[in-house]
Amino acid sequence: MDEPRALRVVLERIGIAGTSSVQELDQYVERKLRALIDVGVTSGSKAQLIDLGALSKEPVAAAQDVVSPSDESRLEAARARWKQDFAARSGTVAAVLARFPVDDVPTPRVEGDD
Amino acid sequence: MTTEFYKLPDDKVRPGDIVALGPTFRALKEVIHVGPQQVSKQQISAKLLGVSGFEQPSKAVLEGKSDTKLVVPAALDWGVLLTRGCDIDNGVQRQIAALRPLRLLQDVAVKESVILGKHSSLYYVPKPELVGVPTAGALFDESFIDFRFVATLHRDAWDRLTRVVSLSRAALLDLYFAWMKHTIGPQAQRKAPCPACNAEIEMFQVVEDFLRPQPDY
Repeated sequence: MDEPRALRVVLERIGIAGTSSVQELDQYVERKLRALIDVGVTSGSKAQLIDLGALSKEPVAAAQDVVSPSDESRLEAARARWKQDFAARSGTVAAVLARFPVDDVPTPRVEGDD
Repeated sequence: MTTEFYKLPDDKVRPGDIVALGPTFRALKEVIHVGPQQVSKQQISAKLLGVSGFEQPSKAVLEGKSDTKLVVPAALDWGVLLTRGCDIDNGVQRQIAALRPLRLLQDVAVKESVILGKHSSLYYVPKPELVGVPTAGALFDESFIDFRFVATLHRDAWDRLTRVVSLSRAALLDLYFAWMKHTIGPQAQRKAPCPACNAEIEMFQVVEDFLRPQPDY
């Protein structure tokens, strides 16, 4: 089987047929492989895992998150920025939303909803 | 964090209450109806109607003239109450938005963009921190509220759920603002350049001024 066709078959089998990049597939498989090994599902080559059908999109990899140290520091920076942003906007958002007369008139009862 | 994001739930049900085993309804891929139920030998059974090649529901149901019951794919998972206080007091509907772990997103760039609020359908929530409750972090991992999955429960079903933790007032208002962003679509920036003079505008201030016009407006 030539490489493009093999790639297409693999993409279809693991449910990401819309993905066209070999690098993207490789990263995807790496993530799945590492997660599968870490949760003790199996060990082996990428090809074996694909043949075993172990590379489903859900939820095995989701059971354990695998984050590299560089990714983790990137996420830490994002979390720190989120904290700052949340604290900065919290007062203003409260002031803005307080202007909406949201509780003045109760939502009417709709026949049959109860 | 100077502004608390979580608090313990009040005695009274409040918007922002978080429950552990609330139903998250998945998107329907097909519309399958539950037919009349039968009870025999302590078992309840019902026909499924509307499955391709099998019995269809009644004409009245198909024409929208009669109510039906549907088979809805779902999971019991963390959820947050969106329903406002007034509707909690006066109505029986309770809207729960799905709270999903950030780890479901595999790509670090996607996780980062969710944390930074770049997706108008997803609202980031950190791992729980509660003053005086050191184990709160074990409740759930950092997550996102997914506005695409909102389930409406009757008060009776909601009242059977345990409210484990709740959003602080600041977090709840922030969540409501995010919900507004979700309905509007584009990301609401805190600052944006004026299209005319290119000066930086405080967007939240503009909105506040808009909602509180000057007396001579």
